[in-house]
Amino acid sequence: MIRLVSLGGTGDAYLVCALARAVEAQYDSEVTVALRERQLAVPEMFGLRCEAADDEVARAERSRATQRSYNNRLAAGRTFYAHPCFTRSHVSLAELTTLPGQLSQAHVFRALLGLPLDTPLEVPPLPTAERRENVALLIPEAGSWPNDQPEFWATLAQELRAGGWSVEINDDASPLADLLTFAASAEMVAGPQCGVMSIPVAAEFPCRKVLCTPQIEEGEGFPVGYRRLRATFPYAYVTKFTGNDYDVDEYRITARNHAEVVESILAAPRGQRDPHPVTTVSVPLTPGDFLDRLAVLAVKRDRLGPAADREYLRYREACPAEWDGLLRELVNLHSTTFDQLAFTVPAALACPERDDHVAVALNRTRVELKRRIDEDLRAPYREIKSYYG
Amino acid sequence: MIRILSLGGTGDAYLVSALARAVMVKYTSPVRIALRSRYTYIPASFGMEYEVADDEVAAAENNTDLQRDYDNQVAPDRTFYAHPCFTRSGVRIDELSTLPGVLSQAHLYRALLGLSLDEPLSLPSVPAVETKPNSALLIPQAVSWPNDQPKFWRALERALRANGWDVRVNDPAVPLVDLFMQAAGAEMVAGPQCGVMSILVSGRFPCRKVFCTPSIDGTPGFFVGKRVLNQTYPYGYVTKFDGLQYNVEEYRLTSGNHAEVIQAILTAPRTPRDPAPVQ
Repeated sequence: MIRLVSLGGTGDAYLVCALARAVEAQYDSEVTVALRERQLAVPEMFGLRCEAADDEVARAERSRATQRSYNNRLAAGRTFYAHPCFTRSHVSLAELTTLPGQLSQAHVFRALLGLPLDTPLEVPPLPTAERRENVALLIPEAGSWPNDQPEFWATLAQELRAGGWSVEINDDASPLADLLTFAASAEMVAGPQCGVMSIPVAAEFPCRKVLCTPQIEEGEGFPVGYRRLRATFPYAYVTKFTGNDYDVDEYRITARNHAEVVESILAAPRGQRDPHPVTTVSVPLTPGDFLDRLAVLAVKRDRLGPAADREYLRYREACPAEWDGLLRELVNLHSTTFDQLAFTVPAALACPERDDHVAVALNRTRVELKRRIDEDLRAPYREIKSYYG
Repeated sequence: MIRILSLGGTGDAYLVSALARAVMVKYTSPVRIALRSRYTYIPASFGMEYEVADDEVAAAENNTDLQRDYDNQVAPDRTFYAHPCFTRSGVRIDELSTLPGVLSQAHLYRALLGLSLDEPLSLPSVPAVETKPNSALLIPQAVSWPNDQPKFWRALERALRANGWDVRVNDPAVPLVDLFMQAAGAEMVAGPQCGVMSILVSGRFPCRKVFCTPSIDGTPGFFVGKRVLNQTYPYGYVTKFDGLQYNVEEYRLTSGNHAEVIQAILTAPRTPRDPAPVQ
């Protein structure tokens, strides 16, 4: 028997549990997960053997000496503290550089547990709950992220109610199992980047997930390991947890954008979304290509509304402030081009005799093909071109 | 005095040397780098104090018990084994997850040495040699990447000579100081992804750098830590070393593309390139 003691928050417990069966297979031994009593709902989701160990967890989290000196070796008949604060865990650091993308929390736990870095995370069965349309669950408080903008949540609740939603605000004291069951039944769950929000995403709950994460750029940030985190993104993106991307909404909440974010949440399409991971590709872009795409998205957002929101927001977050002047130049140019094309393209398509008809028709075919590729390969967003329909 | 023992290859010695001044500042202690005699040119090019420790390095590289159990702390009057194979180095790997991009070798060494993950790398002094136009230095052999396509290098040498280039092929027995002197004076240096090529890039040598890295896709690959790497990219890209992007050429060599790669190398523009990082 291997005893995995899970320290930290709900997200840490989820990752330990999602990898526990891989540990059983690799080490040919049964696993028991020991953790805080209030987190027992997590191993129970996966049907794992578990036990409450509040005192042991608290002691292990406090003792820096134990974290540094305990020979944290994963083997049958031993207790393994499954948290990166236990630094004598025999992790092969060099192999982390072989990862093709960013290091996610799931990679951290795979490395700690001595598993291959591409070990799949188990997806637990969904809590049994009937879907409730127009029900929104708000989770304003997170253990791992400062909630320094409580008024945002009050505004969001008020506007959702005014828009006909039934709104439930999570009470920290309610049991985790109840919270997860409620989340599984709601049409929408909104909260900051945190372990509790990561579970509906990683466990592929059918609800719409809206991550509204208070910015930390202007505050003191918070420690992750020995480092103080002061930038909201990319750490707060949904990809940081499992390493996968999902069809979710993501916003950085500032003191000035509450109304804009609330409006965007209310205006977003309400069709059911595919909860499985989606596909994106990361390659280095030149500044010109990057700004050009951002300018296109900015114009579309201005003209077509929030359908292009998430892609736009990701580009916007990645744009250094000192490039804003260059961006403005491109936005002005694209804005004028947009108006011209909105007039020229339909006219060219309607008139086969025009010199530009073939070129414009081929471009329409390209756009259709691109949409089909994105659909077949499960992209999180599709390009919108108003003048092609 | 903090004694940093540098294990591994040329690239490892470079990163340790490029971060040694930051270690001095952070721990308010002088630093001495102990390493293989073959690599002493590297700390010297940063003006760092060093000592030769061939036997000690070999012993540490072969002693898996020491790698697992030695309490590897950076502190005055201690020896720190600067290599990720020493797993008791106090690194919090969750901190590495805060990086906005992929994890580079430089990030790994910053973390090992207890430095901030965005600590700048110092720059070495590049040998003051005048660039000789039409001179190419080929470095076919790398310790850290298999050279299973020696034919490519012979074909590249022939093609360059036929086009008027003065070609020198590196002899692995040549001292590092001479190799870097030759590289500093060459118009172009070509080699696979390896420590020497990475130093030319990160150290901002003025020569044109051409990475011709034999493909490991579909092969048994090689170990990085405990993991078998059998995909050339993105690990083989120049960014993997110090996390920055540079104006270099990068090719994945397969048994079927030698002629195509050589043609691309021969036809590329020959104007001098900015050796500083690009965005």
